[in-house]
Amino acid sequence: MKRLAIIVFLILLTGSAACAPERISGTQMAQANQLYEAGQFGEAAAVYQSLVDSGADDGTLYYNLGNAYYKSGDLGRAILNYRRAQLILPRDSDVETNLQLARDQTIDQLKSDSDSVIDSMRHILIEWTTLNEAAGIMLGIWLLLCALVITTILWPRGRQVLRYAIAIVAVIVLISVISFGIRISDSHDDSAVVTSQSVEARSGPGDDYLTEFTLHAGAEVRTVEHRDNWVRIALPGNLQGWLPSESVENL
Amino acid sequence: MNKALRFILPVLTLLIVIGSLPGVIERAFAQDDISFTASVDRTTISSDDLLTLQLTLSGNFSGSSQPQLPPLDGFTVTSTSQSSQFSFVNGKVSSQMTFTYRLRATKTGDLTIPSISTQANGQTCNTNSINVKVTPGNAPASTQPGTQTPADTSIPDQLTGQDFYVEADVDNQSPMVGQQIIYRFRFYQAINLFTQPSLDWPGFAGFLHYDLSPNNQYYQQAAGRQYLVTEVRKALFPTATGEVTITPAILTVPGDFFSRGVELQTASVKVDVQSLPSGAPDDFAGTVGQFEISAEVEPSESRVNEPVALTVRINGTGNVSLLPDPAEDMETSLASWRIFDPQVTTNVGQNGTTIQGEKVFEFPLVPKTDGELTIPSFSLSFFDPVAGEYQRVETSPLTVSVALGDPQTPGINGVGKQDVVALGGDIRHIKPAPTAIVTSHASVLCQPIYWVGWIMGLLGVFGVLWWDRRRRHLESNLGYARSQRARGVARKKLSEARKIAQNNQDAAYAAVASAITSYLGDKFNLSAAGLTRDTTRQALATNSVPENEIDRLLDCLDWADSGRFAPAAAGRDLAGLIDEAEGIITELEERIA
Repeated sequence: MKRLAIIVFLILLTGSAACAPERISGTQMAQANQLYEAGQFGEAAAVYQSLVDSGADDGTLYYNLGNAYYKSGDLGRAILNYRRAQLILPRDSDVETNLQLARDQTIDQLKSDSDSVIDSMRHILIEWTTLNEAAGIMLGIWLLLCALVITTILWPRGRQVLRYAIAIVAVIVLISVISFGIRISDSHDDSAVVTSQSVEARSGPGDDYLTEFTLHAGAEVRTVEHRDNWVRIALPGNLQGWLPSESVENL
Repeated sequence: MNKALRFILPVLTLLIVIGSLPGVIERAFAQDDISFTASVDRTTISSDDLLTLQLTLSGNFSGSSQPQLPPLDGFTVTSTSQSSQFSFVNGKVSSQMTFTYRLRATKTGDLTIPSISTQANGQTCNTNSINVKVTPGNAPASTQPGTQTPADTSIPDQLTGQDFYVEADVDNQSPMVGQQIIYRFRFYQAINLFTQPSLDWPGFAGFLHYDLSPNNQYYQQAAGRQYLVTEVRKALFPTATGEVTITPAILTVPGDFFSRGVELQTASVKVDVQSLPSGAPDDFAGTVGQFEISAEVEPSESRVNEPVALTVRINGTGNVSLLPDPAEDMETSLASWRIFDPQVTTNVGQNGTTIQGEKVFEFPLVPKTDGELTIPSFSLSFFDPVAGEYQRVETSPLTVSVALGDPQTPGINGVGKQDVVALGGDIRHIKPAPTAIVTSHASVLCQPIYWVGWIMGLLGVFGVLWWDRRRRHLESNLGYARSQRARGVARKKLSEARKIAQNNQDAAYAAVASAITSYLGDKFNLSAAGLTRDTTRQALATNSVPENEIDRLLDCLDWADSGRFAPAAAGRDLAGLIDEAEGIITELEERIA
């Protein structure tokens, strides 16, 4: 019995090791940085982008790529990459500043969808913690709850006081689990950014459909549906339309 | 007894009271102990002061009249008052009457208040006489302005014996622009006031005005009455030429118990303001008065970008608060300096009835270059109304030796700070490349160890719950507890036996026997002593232990016993016995739930 537990534990440990972040050498990125320093922003962006295309998923890389796109005038891809960087480095002030600066220069005035308290809380959570950090915090609260329950079992006299603490922590666990669930469902990333300078949103997936509205580079949308070479996007305020797939990129 | 006392006591009291009454009455009206004294609050006064004379009549008197004051040589009575007290203490009536006189000395020197007499109970009482020394007061030749009598006081025509009168005038009806004049308001009162009158000043449109303190107060005879005159003054500076009218001032005398309130109004005052004569210098800025100007710089040695303080001080008589900034239009002559707005301090005071003061300009100056830098002279042109001509005063130039600055410490203080303003609005720079780039972000959710964390918490809770329940069960059920511990106890005894097998075979055999019997006793919650072969066999059989095992057990027990009592007869080795016992107990443990 004991032996079995140890084996299971070891399997879990090795499984965790397999799950650890994978890395590749940063020399190529350093070369791209040199290109950027030399003012060759387009070339730098190409090198950064090739790293991203080959599977790199690094916050610093996304940030530098965003900068390179910004400097070479591609506002849409700059915002796209800043937002990718923000998912990985949520409390980085450089990312936040540059993203804000880039957003200020977009043409489309999109209504903010963070009207409700829950929405704005969710935004704060997303901007302040990565998914992993949130999961860790949640586990911490859960273990705290367990510790409190164990304490009440072993120390019956403290039950009166601890009862309230347990109730509060239990509520917090519940809330954090629910918000985490919402976040997971959100992060099936349907967030996307318009990368074309200007694109017409049509009422259906084809050039023959009526133009509903026009979007410009940097407009942040949600994708609802992909069909052939068209993608159906939604804007805050119940506005929907179809864009050509190449004009919009998911985070 | 009690009843009698209760009756007698009030009667006795009543009798005593009635008996003593005539004595009280007699004593109350006894004619003795009448005193009449005079006192003053001080014996040396100045001729400005008022002297308080108190006449006190005290004692047992029934009627009196106000004392007749003899003619007081050198004093006039300004007011009288009277108070009386009546007391009845220890059956003795006493009364006291006090007459208070306020006296003003009309001449100086040693004066005497003569003996004063009065009538009380038909007899005449006299006071002692009092000597008072009157020193010459400050009043007539006074330096104290409070009671100064102005030399030019003339009795106004309209003052014809009324209780109150007000008037207003100015000392100069045709001043020049910027020249100080004095506005005087006088209040004449022939009767004493118990409340303070309130004065509404005129608007003084066309003038800058300053209060002049203190107020003048003096007495003046007019139309057969003595008036107390209060003069209040303001300094006025005309700001524009032409005829200006000062609106009437209004004095409100509040009513009191004896009189109704009065509102008094002066006539309006006309002032004809003259323009200044022609021939003003170019830099004349309308300043009128008499002024001096001085400048100093601190420190006289500095470094580039280290500020020095330049102080320009202008003082004199006239309206200092209107003095112009002396450094105006001097940017060109101060080209090697950066000059900042001055800190200006204005002090306005008065010398007699003339407004004077000083205005201090403190300029922070920052040298732009090194070398011997000159601060040029500052000048002030003004019109002197006394001399009737324009004048110009100026400071001498100052020199500051400026060394090359320490570029690390630009501007220690006094240099205006600037906000750091973002100009370009550019993005922040790229970050350096890390040595290794992350290619896949492992979500903790895909790591089993994360979920183990969750399960561990749950397991912990249930583990503690189970342990707690078992502990409580053991506590409440002794038999169960014995049964649970039986194997452990037996094993302990057997291992003990193994240890002592070499040295003490006897004891070892005993230990094995004890291990088996105590195990059985614990298991079935019986006393070890009460276990016979039959009861053992029966108990084991009911727990569905097979016959052959029961036999083995009993055989083992026999073996241990025989080894104990006849080691040689046993013929079998001790170690084998212990192994056998252990094996049987392990088997039994599995059979007996």
